[in-house]
Amino acid sequence: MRDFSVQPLSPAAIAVRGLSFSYPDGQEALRDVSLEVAAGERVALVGANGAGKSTLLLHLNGVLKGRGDVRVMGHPLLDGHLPQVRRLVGVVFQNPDDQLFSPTVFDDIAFGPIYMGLTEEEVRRRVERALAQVGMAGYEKRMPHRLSLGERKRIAIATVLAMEPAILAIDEPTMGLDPRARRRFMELLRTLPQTIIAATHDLYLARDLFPRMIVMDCGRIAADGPTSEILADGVLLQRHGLEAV
Amino acid sequence: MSIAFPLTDRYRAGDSPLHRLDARVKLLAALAFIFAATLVPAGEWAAFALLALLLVIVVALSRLPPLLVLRRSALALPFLIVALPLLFTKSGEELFSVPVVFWRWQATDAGLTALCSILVKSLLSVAAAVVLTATTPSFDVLKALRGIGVPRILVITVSFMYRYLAVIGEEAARLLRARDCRSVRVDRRGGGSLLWRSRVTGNMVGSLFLRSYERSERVFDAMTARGYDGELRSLAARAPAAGQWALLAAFALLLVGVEVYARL
Repeated sequence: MRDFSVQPLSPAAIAVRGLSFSYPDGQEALRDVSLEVAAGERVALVGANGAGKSTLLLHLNGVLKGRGDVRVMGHPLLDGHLPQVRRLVGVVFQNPDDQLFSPTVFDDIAFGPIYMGLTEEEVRRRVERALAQVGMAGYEKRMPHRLSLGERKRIAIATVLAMEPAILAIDEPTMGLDPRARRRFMELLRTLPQTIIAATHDLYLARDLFPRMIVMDCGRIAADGPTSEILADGVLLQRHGLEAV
Repeated sequence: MSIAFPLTDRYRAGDSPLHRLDARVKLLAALAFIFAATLVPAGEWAAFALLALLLVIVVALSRLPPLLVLRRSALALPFLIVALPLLFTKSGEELFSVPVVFWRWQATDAGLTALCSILVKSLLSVAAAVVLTATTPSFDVLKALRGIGVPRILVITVSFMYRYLAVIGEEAARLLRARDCRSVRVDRRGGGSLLWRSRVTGNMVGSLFLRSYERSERVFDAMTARGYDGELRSLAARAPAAGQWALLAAFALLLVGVEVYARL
């Protein structure tokens, strides 16, 4: 059988250096962002709306391309490397209705594996395993628009887990979930072995699941350090449009 | 948070022999039936009766409520209005006439035959499609379309449409509700001119289009993030069992028989 794993070229999972990006309408979303994330780390990306969190996540697998250097496990985000990088980084979008675009749950989860060129048998195996991983075994034939938001969020995670990525980049994992769905979703995140970088407004989530925190403001990194220390600094949080928990 | 949008699926879950039949076989059979119904010459009532009998047998096999099939088939009736002029334009023996301004329109027996034939043909055709969509999940119909060679880009477009119909419908419902919450009438007459109101409605349609357009860009990003490279791929479908092809062949032969009988 072919080996579909991608070899890491460096110990750092993510290395971003001097990344800047402007949207076509001229709005500057990222200004000279540099950060490094080690393999296995869990990082919360926090900041007010428009701080550049989502834009940064979309750079991690080359959906957006800014000026500067982005490397994922040593792979530069250049055209020749994009297929490998997209296999390494699973991006989970904020709104599952954007992420789940197929008529059935099976088709959606199979999408990534099919594009990886896996055999039909392997695709089916991966769909089954990804569904089991998010606690939704047996949902293959369901239609995404008939599921609850909590269920759609879990399926959205499954669509990237099926590609067996090393890194998960998740945009607003808990937004819009009721307390029970949120708790279950946090349990799911806790069990995943991947390196995770998540953009969130949910500082309780950050406190419970992410030992490291990066505060963004106006496209820049304003603070980067242990979550407990940043959350203890009420002045810093207020200055960047956040609130102490 | 979400507003229920009544997207009624045409599919009726069941476990009849017809439900278990491969979607491609059903799709081809339905298409063959529609062709056969269309090709029967006008006024061949016995042939129409045979086709109707075939359909009744299929509906019985599908265990669908007959009333459901009839109700959904009524969709064909409004189109009959378009065929109404046939009643007066065919030459034949006069049945009755209608005075129209300076002259009289003459309804003929040939016209009546043509009109009734069109009615029967469209009812039979729509009923066949109704049975197909009621016994086959919509995404299976889509896959079957792909399976019989409809270009992938068309099938994918329809499948996106089906996927996002409910999402966009809900968005529209939210917009309408937000408008209703703010349209308070102080006296009997609502405020604003008709022009202003239609402009508001136009703005809402525009806003819905923009939202859908922006969503399509996010969906494209989500596809790109999972490796989409502009090429459309999917798992190859399994071929239906040989027995099902045989069944389809037998059905097609029956239809040919009806056509031959109609022309004897």
